[in-house]
Formats: sequence, C-alpha cells, structure tokens
Amino acid sequence: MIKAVRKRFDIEIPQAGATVAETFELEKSIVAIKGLLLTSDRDDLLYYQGSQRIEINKEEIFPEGYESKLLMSGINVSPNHRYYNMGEMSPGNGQIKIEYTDTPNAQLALQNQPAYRVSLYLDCIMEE
Amino acid sequence: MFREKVIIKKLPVTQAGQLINFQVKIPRDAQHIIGMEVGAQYMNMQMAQPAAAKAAGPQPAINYARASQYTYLSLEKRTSGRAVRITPDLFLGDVRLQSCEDTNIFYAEDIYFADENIAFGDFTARNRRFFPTSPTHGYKHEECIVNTCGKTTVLKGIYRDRQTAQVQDLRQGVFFQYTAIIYVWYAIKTKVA
Repeated sequence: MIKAVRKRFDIEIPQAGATVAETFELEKSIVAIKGLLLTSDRDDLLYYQGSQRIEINKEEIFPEGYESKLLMSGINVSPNHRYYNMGEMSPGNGQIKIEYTDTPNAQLALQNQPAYRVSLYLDCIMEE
Repeated sequence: MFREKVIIKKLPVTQAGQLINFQVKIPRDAQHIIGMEVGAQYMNMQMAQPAAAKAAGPQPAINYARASQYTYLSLEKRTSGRAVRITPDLFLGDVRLQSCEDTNIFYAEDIYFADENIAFGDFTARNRRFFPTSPTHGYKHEECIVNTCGKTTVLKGIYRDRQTAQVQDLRQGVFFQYTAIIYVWYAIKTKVA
C-alpha cells in the first residue's frame, strides 16, 4: 500500500556564523522523495542569513551557498504547494546530508544572536 | 534521463553604481540551460561620508537601517494605515546574461532584497506580534524558466548596482554592500542504469 508521509529533520544553529552539518537517514520503506521545504523558529534569520548544501544518496541536490530563502514558503502559499518539487526522486541509500551555514547580516545586526532551529521537511512516498 | 544541477555565481558589490562583468562557466555535460534565479545577501552598510561614518562607528548606520522604512519600522508605522501604503522595495541592481549560442541575450532580471509590500491590501494585518514580512508570509520561489542550448562554453554576464540614485534621495547617504547571487540551472543527460 502506498502512503504519502512527511518527514522532519531538525538542526540547531548555536551562534552567528556557524556551519552545521548533519546526516539523517530515511526508513527503507520510503521509495520516493517528492519535495522538500525549509522552516525555522526564527524565519527572519533563516531568510536573511541562511544557506545550505543538501545531498541525497551522495548526490548533490543544492550546492554550498544556495540561499535558504529560495526553499521557504510563507503562510500565503497553499499547504499543497509549499514544497520544492523534486519529481519522484529515488532515495537510494536513504541518507540525507545537510550542511547549513549562517552568514551574519549587517542589517539585522543582532547583539548576541540566539541559537535557532532549522527544520528540513521531506514529502515522501512510503510503501508498506 | 535528464538530471538538474545548479551553478551559483556570487558577485560582491562594494561600491555604489558598481558595474561587474562576469562569466559563468557551463560544464561540458550540460545539455540545456533550463532555469534562472537571483538573490542577494547583505555584507555591510556604509555612509556616503566615510570619514564621518568611521568616526561614528557602525551603530548609526545600523540604527538608521532599523528605523528606515525598508526594514524595521516602529510598530506604529508598520501597522497604522499600512494596508494601503506602498513602500518602495529596496532595488539593488539588474543583471543581463548572454549565451555564446544563437539565443544571445536570453535573460534579464532585477534584484530586490525583499518584498516590502507583502502586507499591501491585507486589512487583517493588525497583529503587531505577527505582522506580514517576507520570511513569514512570502510566496514560494519559482525559478524563471529559460530554454537555451547548454553547449555554450560560458555565459557572459553584466551586473550593475542601481543604488546610486536611492542613496542620495531616500536613504540619506546609506549604501548597502552586498553579494548578488546568480543561480543557473542546467540539465544533464544521464545513462539509465
């Protein structure tokens, strides 16, 4: 039986200018990845300061320096259209690697920028 | 089977009115160039009178940016009458791209920092704790679809910073240094295993 599921992976950005790399693994029952989306508990920091490299199955999807704002969707977007469309990409070995870089923004110029969370959502198809 | 990849070209802009000629090298295995995106990241801000700015330190410029209508307005300015007020977007510059193939100049785009009018016409936007901004209420980014041959060796480009007029008129001499970013999406043909 085919099911649509959405997976969420969180990373913590400890301070301004930090680069955080983490690898996550999807379940073996996931047969395709349809889309991805980035969110944060600090949307403004993710929008103005975030960039990342995303790798799926050791295949680079977005290179280093790809701005996070291009993978965000606000609440004005229908929930059915928020994800970045990736077709039905095979997950391969199921490994998702994200290297997120926070580039401090002079305009925000936050004193003691707090730690914040970045979440990567994947829209997947699961076969049971 | 076709696979998509992206090339990122970063152009640091440090002076008002700066003109940058650049090239984007297209890989050998590119079949078609299929999409374009643009973006910008702030680096720093400067005042038009550098000596005075240096003496004052960075805080006046930061305070200005926070108080200006382009970024952080006071709650009163943001919420009262905002629904029908148009705020000029921060226009940074424009880019043109030329292919060595028949398509010649195939892409032209303006680069803005953010959409300052995202709350325009939204009469429900009165919640001061959740006022519409690009990060929270922004629309999904879609690439500009282009279709040009990927056999071109390079793409020749020109980027011009357009802050000169705004620096004098609207922002009292504050100039933003930033990195303009060009994304070139291309498709490569892969062998099906």
